[in-house]
Amino acid sequence: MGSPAGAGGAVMIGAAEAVQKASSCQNTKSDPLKQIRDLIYHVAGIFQADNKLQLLEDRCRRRMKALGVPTLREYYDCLTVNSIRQAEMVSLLNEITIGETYFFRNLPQLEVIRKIVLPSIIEAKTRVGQNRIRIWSAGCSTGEEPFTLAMILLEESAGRLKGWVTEIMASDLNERSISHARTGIYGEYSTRNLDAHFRDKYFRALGDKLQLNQEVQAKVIFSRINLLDDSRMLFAQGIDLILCCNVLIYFDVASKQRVLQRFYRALLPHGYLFLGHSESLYGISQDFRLVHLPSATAYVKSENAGNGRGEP
Amino acid sequence: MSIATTNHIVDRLESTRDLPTVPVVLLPLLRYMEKPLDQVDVHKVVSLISQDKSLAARCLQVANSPLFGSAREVETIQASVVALGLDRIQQIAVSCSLLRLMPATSFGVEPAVFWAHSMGCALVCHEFAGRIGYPDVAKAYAAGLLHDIGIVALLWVAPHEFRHCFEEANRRRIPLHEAEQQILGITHCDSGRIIARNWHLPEELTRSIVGHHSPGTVQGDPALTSIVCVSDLLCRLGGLGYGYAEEKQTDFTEEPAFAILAARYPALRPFDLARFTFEMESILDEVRVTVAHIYGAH
Repeated sequence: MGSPAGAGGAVMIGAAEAVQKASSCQNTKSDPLKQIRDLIYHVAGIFQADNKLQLLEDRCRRRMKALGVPTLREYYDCLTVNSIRQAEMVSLLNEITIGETYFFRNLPQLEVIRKIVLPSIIEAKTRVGQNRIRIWSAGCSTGEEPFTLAMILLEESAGRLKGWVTEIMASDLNERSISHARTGIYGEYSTRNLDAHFRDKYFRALGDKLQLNQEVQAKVIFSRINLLDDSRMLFAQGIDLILCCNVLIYFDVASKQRVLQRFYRALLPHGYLFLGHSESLYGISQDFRLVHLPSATAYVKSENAGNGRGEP
Repeated sequence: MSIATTNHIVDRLESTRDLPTVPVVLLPLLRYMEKPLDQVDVHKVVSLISQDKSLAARCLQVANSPLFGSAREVETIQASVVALGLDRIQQIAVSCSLLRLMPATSFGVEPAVFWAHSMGCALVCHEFAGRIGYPDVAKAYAAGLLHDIGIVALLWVAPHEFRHCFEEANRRRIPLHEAEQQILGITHCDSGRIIARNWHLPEELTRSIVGHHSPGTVQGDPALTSIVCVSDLLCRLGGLGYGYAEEKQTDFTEEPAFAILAARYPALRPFDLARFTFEMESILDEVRVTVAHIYGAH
């Protein structure tokens, strides 16, 4: 889920090389919107497909209005040559990821976790005689993602996870997001994708809001952590599954690589790393390889990797 | 299923009595698509498509969908050539020529599902071929479109047996050809070989129909077959398969088809498959909308 503000002081976007890369894409030269799309992909690693271009344009226009910039061409300049380019890229990324935090947000990803990833982890753990699963939601924002996972695990607890111990660690840089998550109280927006089964079973009404019951809240341990602060990462080991959505997009290449090395060390050999929808590690890390799952992509650890620097 | 049943199905395929006849426009269109565009007589293509009123109407629907993105509504095939280009119209027409091939009764794979998968695979083949530098993107389109034509053959010749395969594949969430092999003793690649020969499809297209689940075994140049194999897999994993999600995890770099292509096309060493997947998701979404529109309207 990430938290746009959560990247806070750690926001460091290196645009110079990316500008060169993006503008060398011949086929997009004439269309400033596609140039912006390519720039965002090269700088941040998040892709806006053709059927999302209208949405991207609306978001750019919102920023253009705020800046008083009349054309997309000039706005592209704001993202590349102007002195404000780094700050402006962050503002645009915030627009792109705005409203991405709600329960059961990425359904194909959750389906894949439930149907393929969990069984695969269970099998790997059973083989070594263990019955514990650890999940890390890195950049959990106000908690909707880890609590969604908690409900999915609880649904499985009488079935294939019977007798298993499951833990979800959830971290974010933003103190306010973490405090909110700890209340377990959510409004209409966050719960709009929640079906009646989950709402009735795991929530109770609290005024015009909903509060998660203790069983779900107890499954998630929240902490305020800067992903770039190595000293706070001691807990991060023996992990089976990491979700890190819309967080890496705010980091420059070197910081992305540092975080990914941390993820690599934290993950068990059979572990999975899920990013946000349309996020990619291409050219960033050779520690991880892309795998395709039904209507979702994920990353698993490459064999013979360890601290590799990805070369595109 | 017993060897006797397998032989029986093969006999019925070979007798061709129950196979659908080749769509009238298919072979002429495939021949036009083989030629460089500047050597194709536009009027011949336009009149070929226009003389079948129902085909022309479907073509215009597709031409006006976001999938092919005509900026303004086109009302005649002639106008659509101007708006979208001859190559695109040929691709649309060859796609629409497959619309009437399916039996009226459903035996597992619905006509709309089959057509959406074929169309999606054709478009992904076209894009993928272009990205990697394969010289003939029109041929890649045709190969993607026709790759599962063997399913049509099975639907006509052995509908109940095919339905059994489909239900088994759906229940176990496995690829259709695996269920076919286990239950029928043959797959839609084998029936594809027979219908392709019966229809006199070009040799290279026939090879890609036969080999799209086993590109390593293809005689001659395996590039086209491998493009179809990769694109087919991307479609199935992207939710545009046969109407159910196969529960599988795929590392494309470990797929034989990918290795075959990577050895021939430097553009794949390396290749941003994540971005390509995101781009294709958008195309597959458009295919869904277009197919729903076309089948919803008829």
